[in-house]
Amino acid sequence: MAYEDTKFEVFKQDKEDRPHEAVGTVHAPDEEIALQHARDVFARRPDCHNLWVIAEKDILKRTIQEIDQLIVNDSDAPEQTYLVCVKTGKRRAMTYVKHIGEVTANSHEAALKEALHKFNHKKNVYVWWVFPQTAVTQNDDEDIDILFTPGLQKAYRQPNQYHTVMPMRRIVHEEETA
Amino acid sequence: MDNITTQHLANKLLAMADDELILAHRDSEWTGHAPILEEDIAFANIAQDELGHANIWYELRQALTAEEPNQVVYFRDLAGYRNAQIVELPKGDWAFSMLRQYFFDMLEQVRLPTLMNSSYKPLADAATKIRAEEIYHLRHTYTWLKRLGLGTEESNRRLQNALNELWPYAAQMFVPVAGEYSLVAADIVPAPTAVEAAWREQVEPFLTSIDLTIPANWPTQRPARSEHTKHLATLLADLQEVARFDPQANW
Repeated sequence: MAYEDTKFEVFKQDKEDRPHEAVGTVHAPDEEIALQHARDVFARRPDCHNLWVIAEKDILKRTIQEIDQLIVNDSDAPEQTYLVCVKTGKRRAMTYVKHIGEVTANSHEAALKEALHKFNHKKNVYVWWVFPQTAVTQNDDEDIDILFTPGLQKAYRQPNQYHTVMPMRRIVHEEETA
Repeated sequence: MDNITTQHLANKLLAMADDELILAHRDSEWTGHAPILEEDIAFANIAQDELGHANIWYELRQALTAEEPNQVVYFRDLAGYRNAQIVELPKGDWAFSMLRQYFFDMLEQVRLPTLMNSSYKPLADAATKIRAEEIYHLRHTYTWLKRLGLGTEESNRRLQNALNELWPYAAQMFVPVAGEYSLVAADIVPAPTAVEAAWREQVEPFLTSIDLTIPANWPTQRPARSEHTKHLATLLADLQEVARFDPQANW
C-alpha cells in the first residue's frame, strides 16, 4: 500500500444512558475518516447514540495475567484524565470491553494502576483498557439525526429471513435425483 | 391536480428516479473494488441509499401513473430512460466516482430544501425523509475530495482530469423536463435555473479551495434527457438481464 492507515478502536453507545462498548476496529488515515467508517461499519442500522474512535496505539491493553508485570515509571508528565474500560466474563461471543469510568494519572501505566485500585470491586474482570480522554474523537450531538436516525426508519432483514435455505435444498435435491 | 400537471410531475419524478437508479448502479460497481474494505462498505451503503431514493421517486410516480416501479426499471427500453448522461458514464477511477457523487450530492443539497416545501405534499414528505441521508453523503464526498485535491501530485492530477471530463456533463443535470416550468409556477418544484445557480455557487469555490482549476466553459447548449451516451445500453443490459430472463420469477 502506498500509505499507512492507522487502526482505530471503535466504541459504540447504543442509548444515552448506556455505557460505550468496544465493537471492533476500522482503518483510516485520520480521525475524521475513522469516525465516518465507524458509522458505516457499525452503526448504519443498529441503535446508536454516540461513537468514539481511538487510535489503537493510544490504548494500553492488559489482561489480568499481564498486570503482574505492570511497571509504573516515575514521570513528570502532566496529569490528565484517562478513561477506563473492562471486559468481564469469559464468554467469547457478545462480550464487549465496556467503559466504566475515569481516573487521573500522568501515564498509561499509572492510570491502569489507579484503575485497579479505584475499581477493585469489579468482579470477573479479564481485560483492562486505559486511554487518555484527549485520544477520543466522537460525533457531535447534532450529528445524531444525520448519522444514526435515518437507519432506524428502515426495515432490514437478518440473513435467515430470506427464506433461501429450503428452496436451495430443494434445488440441490432435484439436481441430485435427476 | 389537473391531468396535464400530473403528466408533467410524472416526467419530473421519472428523471429524478432514473438519476438515482443509474448512479446507484455505477456506485455499486465499486463493491469489492474500493480502495480499502471500510470504504467499500461506505460506498456500497451510499449506493444502496441512492437506490432507496430512486424507489421513493418511482413510487411517488406510481401514485400518479399506476406504473409499477419494477416494471419501469426492468422492462422499459433505453429510449424511455430520462437520467442525465453524467450518471451513466463508466465508473472511472476513484477520483472520478467521488467527484461525480459529489456533483450529485450537491444537486440534492440545493434542491431538497425547496422540495421539502413543495405544494405537492407527498413530494415534500419524501424530500424531508431523504434529506438527512444526503447530508451524510455530502460529508463523505467532501472528506474524500479534500484529501484527493490537496493530497499528492497524483491524486490532484486524477481529480483534475475527472473534473475536466465531468464538467460539461454536469451542466446537463439542470436541463428541464417537458412541462417543468408549469410545476415551478405551481410551487411543486424549484426553478432549474435557480438550482443551477445555487449549485455553481457552492461547487466552484469549493473546487478552487482544493487546488483545482474550473474548466473555462460551462455549456449552455445541452442535450435533452432523452439523449444518452453509448454507455447506457451496456449498463441497462447488465441491470435488466436477470429480470428479463424470467419475468414471472417470484422474488
